[in-house]
Amino acid sequence: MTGSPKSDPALSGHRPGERPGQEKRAEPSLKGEETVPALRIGALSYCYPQGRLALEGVSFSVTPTECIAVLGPNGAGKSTLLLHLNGLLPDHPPRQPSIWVEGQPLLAGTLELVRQRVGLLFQDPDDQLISATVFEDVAFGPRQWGIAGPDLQALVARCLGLVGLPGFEEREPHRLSQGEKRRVCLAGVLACRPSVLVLDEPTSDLDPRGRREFKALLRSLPGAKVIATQDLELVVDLCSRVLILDQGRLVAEGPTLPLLSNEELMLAHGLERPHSLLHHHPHR
Amino acid sequence: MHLPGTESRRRTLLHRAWPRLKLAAALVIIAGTALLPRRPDALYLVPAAVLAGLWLVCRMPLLYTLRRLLVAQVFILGIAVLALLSPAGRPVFLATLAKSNLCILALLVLTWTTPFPELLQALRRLRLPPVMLTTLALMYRYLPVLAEEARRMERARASRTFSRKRRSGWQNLGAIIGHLFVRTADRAERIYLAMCARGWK
Repeated sequence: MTGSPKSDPALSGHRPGERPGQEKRAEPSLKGEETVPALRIGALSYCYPQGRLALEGVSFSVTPTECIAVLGPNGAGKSTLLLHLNGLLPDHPPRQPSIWVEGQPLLAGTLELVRQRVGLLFQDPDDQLISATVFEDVAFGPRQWGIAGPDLQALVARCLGLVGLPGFEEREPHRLSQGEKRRVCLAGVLACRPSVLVLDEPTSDLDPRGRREFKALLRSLPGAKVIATQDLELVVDLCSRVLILDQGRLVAEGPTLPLLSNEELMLAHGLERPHSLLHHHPHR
Repeated sequence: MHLPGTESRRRTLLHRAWPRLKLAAALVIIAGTALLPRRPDALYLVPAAVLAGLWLVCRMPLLYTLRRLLVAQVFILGIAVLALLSPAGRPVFLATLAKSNLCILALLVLTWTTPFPELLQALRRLRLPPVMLTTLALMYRYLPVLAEEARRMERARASRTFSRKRRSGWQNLGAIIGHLFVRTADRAERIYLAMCARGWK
């Protein structure tokens, strides 16, 4: 296993009051009016073909430097919401847009543009790694946008370097560890040069070291991030803001620490107060 | 599941040869064999000798080869037996057996010496339709995933099986296969979404 590209800032002494996500939070409020949100969702609703309501009137926005978490119990609509951000749901884009990416409404005509700007990392790496070699897989997206030849090779090498797997081009996906598979998936998404990263349970099947390294990797990446997860420690470390979904509705939204410390709210929606907020951790 | 890959290979002269050349040579051998007369004939010795020579050069293990040929016999015999039904079908039956086995052997030598990704590249250069290439690539990628899934389900079933009745064994196998189909269909859907997310059209 290769090391993470940067040393893990989680290990290098952040006090609870000054976690990295929170320093960023001050920025948008200062110049919030001028910046176009990286992502804006307005009254998004979705019904499954079977008739079950999966999302109901969900609205929020994400600034270009923000990292937000989407929390909620299983079946709350998190994955459904993420599929919408990339235009994968509903099957045909609606006439009336409810999603804007960098000011561009998501419509049938802008679908490709939106898919390039929003990079989606799926929960199971085996669903996303489709090619016979790592190179082919990372090259999958850029090839669709017409990049080829030396440019493509340089881009793939750079993206593999970014995720800490330089020289993995000829490796075969089915021979990689779970953590390596995730990193290759991320490289494949980064190769499309997205401005918003959307991640579905990015640490769900990683061991503690894999989780720590992947967290450090995510922190090193610039741009807006939306993370749906059950890993509350990841949220505490990375995200400045939290959305809580339950039964397809946005039930709470706010800064990470106050929201996650609200035990009553967390328990009411199938969550719990993260361990790191229960006790004082002298090493943080 | 063992699939010949880019790693863990003994490298011989044939392994290092140009993939496109190997692919073209295999196609020539296969086409030539298919055009041989439909009766036992001394001409069959020509492709047989060529393949035997290549086999020796590439050091393909005997057991590896026989196991794969054995799997192919099911299909070959299924077709060849039909020839026996017609009058004077014996020469055709024998010719079908010989032709099919020689062709399979040619493909075995090709796949043993050429890692699948290189073969895909060669096929791409030969302008094979992209849909076919994608299908082949996906098959190669997901066979181990499916095999692993089947193994996990079989293990879970075995841990809860307390009788040795053959009938329930078959029933369980049927259930596993059915379940595997459903899971594969779900996975196919997710794979398609993941491909779309990266600009697939």
